[in-house]
Amino acid sequence: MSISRRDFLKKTTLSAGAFTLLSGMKVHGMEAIHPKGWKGRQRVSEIASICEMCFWRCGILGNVDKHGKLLKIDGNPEHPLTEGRLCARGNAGHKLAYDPDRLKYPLMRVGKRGEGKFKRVSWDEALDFFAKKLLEIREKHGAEAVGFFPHGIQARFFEHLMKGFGTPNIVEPAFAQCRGPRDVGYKLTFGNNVGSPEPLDFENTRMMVFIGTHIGENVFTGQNLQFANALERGAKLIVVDPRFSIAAQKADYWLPLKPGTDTALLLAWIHVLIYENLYDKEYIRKYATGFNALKKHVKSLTPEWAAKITELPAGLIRETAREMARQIPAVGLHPGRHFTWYGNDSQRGRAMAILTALLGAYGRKGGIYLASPIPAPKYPSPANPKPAARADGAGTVYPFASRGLGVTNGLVEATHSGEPYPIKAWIVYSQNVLQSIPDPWKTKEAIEKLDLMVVVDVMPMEQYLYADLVLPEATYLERYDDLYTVKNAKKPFAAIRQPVIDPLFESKPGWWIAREMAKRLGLEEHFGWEDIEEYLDYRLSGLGVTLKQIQARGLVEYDKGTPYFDFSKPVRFKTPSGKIELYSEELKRYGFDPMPVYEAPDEVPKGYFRLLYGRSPLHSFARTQNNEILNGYQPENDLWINDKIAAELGLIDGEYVNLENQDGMVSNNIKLNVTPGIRPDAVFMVHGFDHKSPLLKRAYGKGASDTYLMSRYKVDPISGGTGMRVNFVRIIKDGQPVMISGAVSAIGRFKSTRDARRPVKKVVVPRAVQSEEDEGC
Amino acid sequence: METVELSEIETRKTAYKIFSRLFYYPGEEIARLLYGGVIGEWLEHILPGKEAERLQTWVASRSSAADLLEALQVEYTHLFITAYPNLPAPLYKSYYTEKELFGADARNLMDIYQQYHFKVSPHMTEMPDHLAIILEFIYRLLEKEAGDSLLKDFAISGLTDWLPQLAKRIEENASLPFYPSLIHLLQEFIRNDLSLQATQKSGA
Repeated sequence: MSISRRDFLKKTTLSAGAFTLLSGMKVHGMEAIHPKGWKGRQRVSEIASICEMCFWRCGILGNVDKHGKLLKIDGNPEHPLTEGRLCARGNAGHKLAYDPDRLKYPLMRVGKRGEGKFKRVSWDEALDFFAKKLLEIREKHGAEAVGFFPHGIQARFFEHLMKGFGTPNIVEPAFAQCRGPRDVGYKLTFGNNVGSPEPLDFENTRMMVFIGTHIGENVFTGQNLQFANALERGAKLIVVDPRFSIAAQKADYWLPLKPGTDTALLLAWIHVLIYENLYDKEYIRKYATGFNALKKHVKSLTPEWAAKITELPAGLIRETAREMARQIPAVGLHPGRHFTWYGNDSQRGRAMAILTALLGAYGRKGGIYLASPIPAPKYPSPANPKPAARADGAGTVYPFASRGLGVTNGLVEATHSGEPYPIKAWIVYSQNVLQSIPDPWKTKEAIEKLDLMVVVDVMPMEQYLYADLVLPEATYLERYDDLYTVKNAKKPFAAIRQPVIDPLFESKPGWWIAREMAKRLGLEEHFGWEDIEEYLDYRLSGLGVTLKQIQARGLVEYDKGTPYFDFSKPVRFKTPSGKIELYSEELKRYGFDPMPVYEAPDEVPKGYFRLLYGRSPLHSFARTQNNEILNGYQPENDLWINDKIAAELGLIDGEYVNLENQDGMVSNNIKLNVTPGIRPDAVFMVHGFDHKSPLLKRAYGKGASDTYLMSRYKVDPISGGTGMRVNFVRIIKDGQPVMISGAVSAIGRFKSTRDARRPVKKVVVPRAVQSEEDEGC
Repeated sequence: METVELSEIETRKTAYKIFSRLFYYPGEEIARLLYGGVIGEWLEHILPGKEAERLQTWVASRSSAADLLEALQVEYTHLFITAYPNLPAPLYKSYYTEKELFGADARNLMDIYQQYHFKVSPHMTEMPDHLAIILEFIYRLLEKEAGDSLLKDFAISGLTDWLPQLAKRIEENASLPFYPSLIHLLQEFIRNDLSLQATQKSGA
């Protein structure tokens, strides 16, 4: 040390000028409080809001301490769907707010795109830049050159802004990577989308049928609760799944069919209902059209025909059809959620809808109940400019695709090819475009072609590295969002998301970001409300309440009476014919099969497995893997592989391997879960792992990514949805492929475990296709 | 040149205030004072040695205050806010002690602030345990001349226990000499200050 401690600070002299400057310097981080004044938040408060750890949006109560720290989250017992229950993700939500890796300030790129080098900037600087670039692009290329990729209700304000700006290119993965083909299939048949939550009357059902739906792993708390109650009540359950899922473990019948053959099974079920005269004749006669054509269409599609395709016993197919028929109309055939499997998925949706109709279950007690629109008026806003034609193919290339939700992959393709016109900017809002849309390599190439890439998010997800501008959104616990109206509930309701804690750092709510941008884009009139409270008050006025009145409870119900058809009055479906369309003239007009036709998926190449993927009760999509609690419970995914195959290949449970797909794409390490609970021709992993953003410290590089093994996908020509179960993988161990020497056959009997109501102790190993004599389970 | 001799308390106050400002996100004023040599002069007075010299030499090498500001903002963002592939050195105490934002340490600090009739400004967007806020709190205590008795305990438990970890991360990840020198200077200043207070207390 150059100065003695005793002399330290004793000889400080400064020039007068320096002294003036330094003494005049201010710090602004703190302020004094009067000794008898502010004492902070002195008590723990409980604030009602809605969750966003998945899209189910359960009711929550946030417990906040005197410092304003959110200590824990409980379920809101007032919530009509969840009744106070909350899943692991909902309970872990506070860790999102306090995740050290979250985005904290607006950031401007200073390095090359993908280099991840940024500079913190003020909101004014960020939004001025953003608006200037958007206006330049609109001036030069038209508003349609801006693509918007939103996700969730928080993005609605920005979506409103984008419509006012004039772009038609608004695309959400909720359609083309999820429910799109399902909704198209049901809409073509009944005139209505299924919507979300699925309006299944499990409260009164006597039979539940799941086609690939894996409730229990795919946790929607309200639906889980209804499912569990239905089982307890004695409702029967049929599960169709190549995997012995949690739901399959509770089933009366497990049908581990060959992946991709679901439509064959559905057509055979339809055949049995019709040709054994088991369908709801009165319902079909009164409300459906095209029955005779359907009857002719399925004449040869017998259980025996389907058995060869599905590798299920014909007797089992017949028996399960009869079981369903015995419970008419109280059959809850779950329409499914993630529906984009093989590229012919709208027709599978049609087959499911037709089966539902034959069971007389649509609009009936115990089947699918009817939604009740909620009178929550939109805040007045000027008319939007007439947009140019879409670039994503929704309504044109894919004639039945939703124009509201669009086709994400169509917009990626348009950006990549520059056709039908160049796309110059992407605004990615709470979406992870590199983990939700297949062929992420193409997505990256498309991003490289952009003039502007803006990311609005809470966490630094993959695409953040490619952004020119990053805007930190407040978490769902720190903001108001638009009113959440739930028409698909037997007692519909509207719930509010309100701040449980103040936004941390410089994160801002979506409504604020959109409105500030509107000021800069000359669109203030589109956001004419005084403040967000006034906006919500206006929307709630249709329900006869104010925001203040419902803040403590967090929601308001809207009882519109029975959610079933009143058959004493004429019933008109919203289809062209006004009836349930078993035969679709609309499809025929566009050159598609008017009734579902089974299309065989590509066979699994020798030495490979079909890559199946699904969900975990501990994670949502690719969004929660960095959460401290959830990562602690499930830091990585594993790979289900059939035990006999594993034995033949010399693979051991718990060891790590890699996967290589048909195009040579190799996964990160993944741990083997050797189990008899999956067919030999497929492997399964939970979606959303192996994050590529190193800024997600807990999630980075953990597990394997299914998306990064999806170099191929098959687009459903009706809806534009991306069939993603068309990729095949082989096992790589110690750098070498592990080859299968011979085929291992598939199917065996399943012994139900549900009567015992206890965990499964023994799973009967799938084995060879059963002959007719072996039927029955 | 006219000079001003600072009292001990003035020097200490000024030091904590300047260090606080230097650990907030850099703005135009701080860049101007740095580029004009005012802060460098003061640092060399109070903590003479190679670190102050290194810091001042680097500052002087920039072409303008604007150039300096740009470099500091990029470096601050890289070290303390976000960086690829890893964020090296967040400035929050609970990040080091609890791996979480707004942890127990942050809330304990809020209690201490309140005990001395301060609170983090509602306009402030940093956490209560951000280094700059802790330093500002000490400055404000000294300004009230109420802080001496508290400072030692508070500074030992609330400040110095995590600074070595922070300093190590800054040193390992900085691309410019500014923040490594600054954290060294801060640590040296605190060591000296605590030693001085201890000496005075013992009556030596």
